[in-house]
Amino acid sequence: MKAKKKLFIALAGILLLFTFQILVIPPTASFAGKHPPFYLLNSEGDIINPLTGENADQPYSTYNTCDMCHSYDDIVQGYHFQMGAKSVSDHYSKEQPWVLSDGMFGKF
Amino acid sequence: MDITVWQWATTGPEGKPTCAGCHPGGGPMEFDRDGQRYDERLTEKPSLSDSLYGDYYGSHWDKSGVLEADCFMCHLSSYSFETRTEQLKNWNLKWASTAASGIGTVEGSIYDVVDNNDPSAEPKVTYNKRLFNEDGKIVLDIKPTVDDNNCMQCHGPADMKKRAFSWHDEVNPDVHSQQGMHCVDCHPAGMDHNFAKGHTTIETLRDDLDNSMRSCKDCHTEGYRGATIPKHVNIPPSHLKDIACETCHIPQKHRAAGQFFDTTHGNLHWDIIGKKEAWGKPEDWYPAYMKFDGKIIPINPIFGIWWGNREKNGIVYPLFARELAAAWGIYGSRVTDDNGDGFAEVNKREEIRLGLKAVETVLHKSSRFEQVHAVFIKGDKAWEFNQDSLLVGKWDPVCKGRGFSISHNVAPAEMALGANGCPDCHGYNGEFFKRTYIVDPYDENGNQVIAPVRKTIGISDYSYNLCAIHFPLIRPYMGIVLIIIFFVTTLHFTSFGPHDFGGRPLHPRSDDYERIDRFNLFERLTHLFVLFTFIFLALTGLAFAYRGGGRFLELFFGNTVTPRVWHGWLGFVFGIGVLFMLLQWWRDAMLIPSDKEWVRNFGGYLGGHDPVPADRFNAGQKVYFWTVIIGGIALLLSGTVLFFREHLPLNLVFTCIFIHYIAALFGVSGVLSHVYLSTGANPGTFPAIFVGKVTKLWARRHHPLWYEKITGKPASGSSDHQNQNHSDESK
Repeated sequence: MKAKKKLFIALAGILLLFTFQILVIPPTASFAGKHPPFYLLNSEGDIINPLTGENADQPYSTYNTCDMCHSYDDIVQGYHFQMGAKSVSDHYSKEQPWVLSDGMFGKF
Repeated sequence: MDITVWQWATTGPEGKPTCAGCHPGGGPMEFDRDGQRYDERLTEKPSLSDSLYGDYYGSHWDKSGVLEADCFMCHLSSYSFETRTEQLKNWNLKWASTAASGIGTVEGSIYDVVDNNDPSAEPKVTYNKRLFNEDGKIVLDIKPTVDDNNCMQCHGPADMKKRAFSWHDEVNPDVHSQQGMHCVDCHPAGMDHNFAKGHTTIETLRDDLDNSMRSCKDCHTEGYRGATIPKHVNIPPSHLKDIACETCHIPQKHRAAGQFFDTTHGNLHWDIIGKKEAWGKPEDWYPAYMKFDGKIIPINPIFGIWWGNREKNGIVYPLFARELAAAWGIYGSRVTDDNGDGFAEVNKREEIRLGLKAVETVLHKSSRFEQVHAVFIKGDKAWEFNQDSLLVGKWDPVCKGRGFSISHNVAPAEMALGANGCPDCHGYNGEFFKRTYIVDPYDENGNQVIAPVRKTIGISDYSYNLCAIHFPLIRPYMGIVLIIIFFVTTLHFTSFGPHDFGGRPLHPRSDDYERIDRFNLFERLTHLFVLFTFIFLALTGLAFAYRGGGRFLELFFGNTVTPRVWHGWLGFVFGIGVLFMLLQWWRDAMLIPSDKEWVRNFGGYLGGHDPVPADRFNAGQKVYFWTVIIGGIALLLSGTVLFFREHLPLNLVFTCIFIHYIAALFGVSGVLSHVYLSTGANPGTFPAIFVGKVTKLWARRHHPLWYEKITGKPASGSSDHQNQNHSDESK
């Protein structure tokens, strides 16, 4: 009975250690900084697999592909993407009414 | 910009990318101003492409797809921008990333499908199977950060403003680049992809993120990642406060940049420094300067020659390129190329007059302005017709030139301005003040009109000339003047010895060694204050004047700021001491007739045998006294200006720097002579200013008139007896 109890405690401890490791270490860590392999998705969100010929003649969609892991909608709020589009307004500048935003909309 | 979104994405000059070649997709490349995807909306409502809706006019989004944000543009070092451009010009928007990232090849062209009505040209993708695992997943070397080369693809060609080519410039690479730093080291970004920004003079996008990048100070005060921590011991703190690091540390540029553009012909004609065909080509040039955010920064001056229309509200609206092209069609043939650069420039009054009339003719045909009143902006003048229809050119706020701030190409410290001392900037040939910039690219004869850069930061010709005299001609010789004083006094002592009247003793008297009061306690304390403060001020002041002086100051104070603070405050104490001296000694320092004899005999310093008439102060001391008073007041007043220099006009400040150094030079020279005369030259004099007493013998010898005044006895005479008789007679 005592042997069974010891075995139970040992197994439970090992299980706890594994659980702890899974919780603490992020899944990408095993790739040591390399981006893991991933599926390309087309504009419909379907997998492109050139090896099987599945949708293999279609371009991939960044939105569908990258958004699987990274928040595409958040990323494209960055100013490299928006270029001032979010602030476009006919009333953006009183002194230079042709300038429509903080980006290059309406000006050179 | 006078182009539609579709043109933005698909149209570009021959051999150059479209705007979307660099704009990475997403945002306005994907969604219209109503927040709907271009391709979906146009598919639903094809008539939009025939409407005047700028997001859809003439577009084929329904066939080309949209430009989604292309992650690989930045995160894949093998990304091909040339392929992207090719795809965009073929209107293959949604295929662009697939082709440019190299994960597949794309054959076909939406342009051919639409414009040439060739359905067989529909783009087809052939993926590179070698990149895929057996399970169909792709394996790519996607970087978690961004390689410099990816940044360079866009920020390099835009070197007119972005200047990324300069970062790895082979001729003069940025020192940070040489140390292996990358763009994202200073411009990091988080998952929000908002890269940390500096603060440029022109760009306005996301100004709320200005100065979020790592600044020079961030790393070079903390030693972040091994950055050096410069002490700038020989640089005045005011310079560190008022001048940006880049100003001194980017002394020169080696990549041609734009200097002005001309829209007269209806397109954008750039004039590039060194007349290069493209910016970014090797070309040595020197930045100009401007004040920005309270600091003097280096800039590439850029301004435009443009045409506008002054509306009823007084605002000058720039015109569309097509309007200018139409106007040029009317009068262009009558405009000549005066400077022979192959570009016919509007510079003569008659040409300007023709241009304004042609522009007004074109504008009268449209109804976009309530009032047609053409304006031509060139250099520092806006040209327009006045109420009497006469051509007038005068400065207008719209003429305000622009400079693009420079922050790359940081040179090694040894090459920085000031590394060779103050004359690097302040000398007659000092780069800082002597550089010029273009005010007007072509005058009536087609010649450039230039002006010194110093004027843009408020330095007048007067200040420049004052500096040109002061820094190279006065400061370096201050030490030599002091050495000359040492030499002359030593020579005098060696030649004539102590001032003992030829070694002939006066007739001894029994009271010769009795002491009499020469200076009271208050006088002695005043002198002491002035003496000690002057020693401190002179030593620190000389250290400020010389390149190596900073090391000397650091040795005693641990830094160079503390002595400057003390120099300022003790200067006031010195000034007050000088004023007290004036109050207590001015009567004694007034010249009297007998001083002429003292002067005639050179005070006996050239080997006279008899005492020379002198009151409490001899003629030499009186001259010295007034020199000290005038010099001291000059130092006090000029020093006060320098103490508050930040709030005062530069002309006044430079004048006071000049006066301060001249006065200090005279002061230090005078004090050295004074010390010699009161010690080696006149034994027995020195203790008087500390203990306040002198012997009667000393008084008889050096200040006989004063002796007679305070004792009532004659200074000369053979014996006590004679003196006694003299006293009796006088009674």
